[in-house]
Amino acid sequence: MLLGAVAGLPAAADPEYDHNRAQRALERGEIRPLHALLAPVEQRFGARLLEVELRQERGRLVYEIKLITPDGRIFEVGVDAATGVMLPSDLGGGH
Amino acid sequence: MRRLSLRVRLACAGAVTVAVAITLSSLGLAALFDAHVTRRALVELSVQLDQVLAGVERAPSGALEQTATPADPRFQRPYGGLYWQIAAEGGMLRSRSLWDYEIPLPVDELRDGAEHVHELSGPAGQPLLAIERSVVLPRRLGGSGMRATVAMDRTELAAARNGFISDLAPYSVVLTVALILAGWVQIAVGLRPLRMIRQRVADVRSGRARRLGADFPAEVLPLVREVDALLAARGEEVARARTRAGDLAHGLKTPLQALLGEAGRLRAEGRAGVAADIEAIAGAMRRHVDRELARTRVAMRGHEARAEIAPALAGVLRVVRRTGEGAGRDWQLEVPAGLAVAADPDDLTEALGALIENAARHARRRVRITAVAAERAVTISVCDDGPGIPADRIGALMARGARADTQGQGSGLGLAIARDIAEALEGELTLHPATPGLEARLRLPGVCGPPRQ
Repeated sequence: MLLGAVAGLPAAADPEYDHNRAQRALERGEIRPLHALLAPVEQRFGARLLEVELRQERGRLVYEIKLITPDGRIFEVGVDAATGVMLPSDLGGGH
Repeated sequence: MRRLSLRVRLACAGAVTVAVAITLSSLGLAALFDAHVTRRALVELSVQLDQVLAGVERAPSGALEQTATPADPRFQRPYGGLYWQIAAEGGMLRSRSLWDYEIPLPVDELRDGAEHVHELSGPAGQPLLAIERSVVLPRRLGGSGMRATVAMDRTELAAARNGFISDLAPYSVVLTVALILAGWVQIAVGLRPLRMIRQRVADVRSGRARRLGADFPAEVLPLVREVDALLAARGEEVARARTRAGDLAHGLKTPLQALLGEAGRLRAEGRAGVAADIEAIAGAMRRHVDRELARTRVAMRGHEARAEIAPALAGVLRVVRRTGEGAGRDWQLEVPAGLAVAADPDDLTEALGALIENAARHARRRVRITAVAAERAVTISVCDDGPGIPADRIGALMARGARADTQGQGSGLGLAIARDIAEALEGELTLHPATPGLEARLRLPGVCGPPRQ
C-alpha cells in the first residue's frame, strides 16, 4: 500500500494545489482544458464525474478521472492531458 | 347553414379563457419560484463569501493563501458546482472546483464592501450566478484591496425551477379541467330559461297555456313578450276571420232558405219535378256551406283550445233527450271526469251532437258512449244497437258528401260534419260494425295535464 502510494502519487501531488498546477500547465500550453477532455469521456460511458487528479506519469501529464455510472458502478479512466487520448486502465470498467 | 350553438360557443370561449389563465398563472408561479430560489441562493453565496474572506492569510513567503477553505465539498470537486476566487494584487486564489479555469470578472468599479451580482460563464461553459465583493485587507495582511467572488451553477437553479414546473403541471391540468367542467355546468344553468321557452311554446301549441308568461329572466323577457304579442295579434286575426266566416254563413243561409221557399212555391204550382231538383241543389249547397264553415271555424281556432268531454257530452244529451228520438233511449256513459281534448268546446259539442243524434236515430234501445285516453289522443266511441251498416257500405258512406240514408234528413251530413271537425283537429272519425249496431269512433288529439293560466 505504501509502495502503491509512492508509485501512484507524484511528489507534488497535494490535492489542494493540483488545480493550480493544472492551470499553469494549461497556460503554458502543455495540456488541454479539463472540460474539453472530460466531455467525450462522460459521453462515452454515460457516467458522471466524481473526482479528477492530475498526475505525472512516465514524463507526461495524465488525468486520472473517477466516474460513476447511473447504475452505480464506479471506475477510473486515465486520459492523456495533452492529447485527450484515453489510456488503457487497469482499474476495470471494461470499456 | 346552422349557426354554432350558444352552448358550444360559450363552452369554447370559456375553455380558451381558462386554459390561457391557468397557463399564465403557472408561468407566473414558475417565475416567482425562480426569483425565490435565486434569492435563497444569493443568501447562501453571501454566507460562503464571508467564509472565504475569513480564511485569507499571508504565507511566510509573502503570498496570500487560503488557510481555511469553506467546508462545502462542492468547492473541492472539479466542476463541483460551487466556486470561489480571490483576485488580489500579485496573486490569484481559486477553489479546486474551478480546476484550470479562472472566472472572467467583468471590469467593474466596485465600492468597497458592496456586493455585486453577476451572470458569468463557468469552467465548462455553464452559466454561473456569482456575487462579488471588493474588500480591503487588514494592515497585518498588507492592507491591499482584492476582489472576492463566490459563484454557483445556474443549471442547478434551472433544474429546481423545471422540477417545480413539472410538479405543478398535473395540478394545473386538473384545475383547468375542473374549471372547464364548472363552466359547462354554469352554461347549462344559464341557458335553462331557453328550454323553458320551448316548453311554454309547446304548451301554447297544445292548448295547455294561452301565453308564455312573464316569469323569465330579464335577458329573454323581451323575446317572450314579442312572442306573446304575436300570439295576441294572431288571436285577434283569428277572431276577425271567425266573424267573417259567421257573416258569410248568415249571408248564404237566408238566400238558400229563400231558394227552398221558391222551390216550395213551384211544388204548390204543381211543378214537383223542378221543385225536387231545386231542393236537391239547394240542399247540396247548404251541406257544402255548413261543412266548409265548420271546417274553417275549427281550423281558425287553432290548437290552443281545450275542451272537457264530460260537460260537452252532458250538454248534448240534455238537448237530445228532449227530442222524440232521444227520449226513449237508454244512455250508457263511461267518460272519465276531467278528460279533455285539444278542441274548441263548441266544435266538440257539434261533433258529439252529430254523432249522438245519428246514434239516437238508429238505436233500438240503448246508446253506449265511452271515452279513453291513449298516446296523447282521446278516442270517443258512440255505439248504438240499431240495424248497423254492412261493412262493405261503410267505405261508400264515408266518401265525401255521401248519405247513408237518402230518405232521412241529414244523417250522412251529421257524420260528414263530425268527420270534417275531426280532420280539421288532426284527428279522425271511423265507423265500425258492432254486434249489434254501429260504432262511431272519434279520435281527437288530447291535452296533458290541467289547463294553465
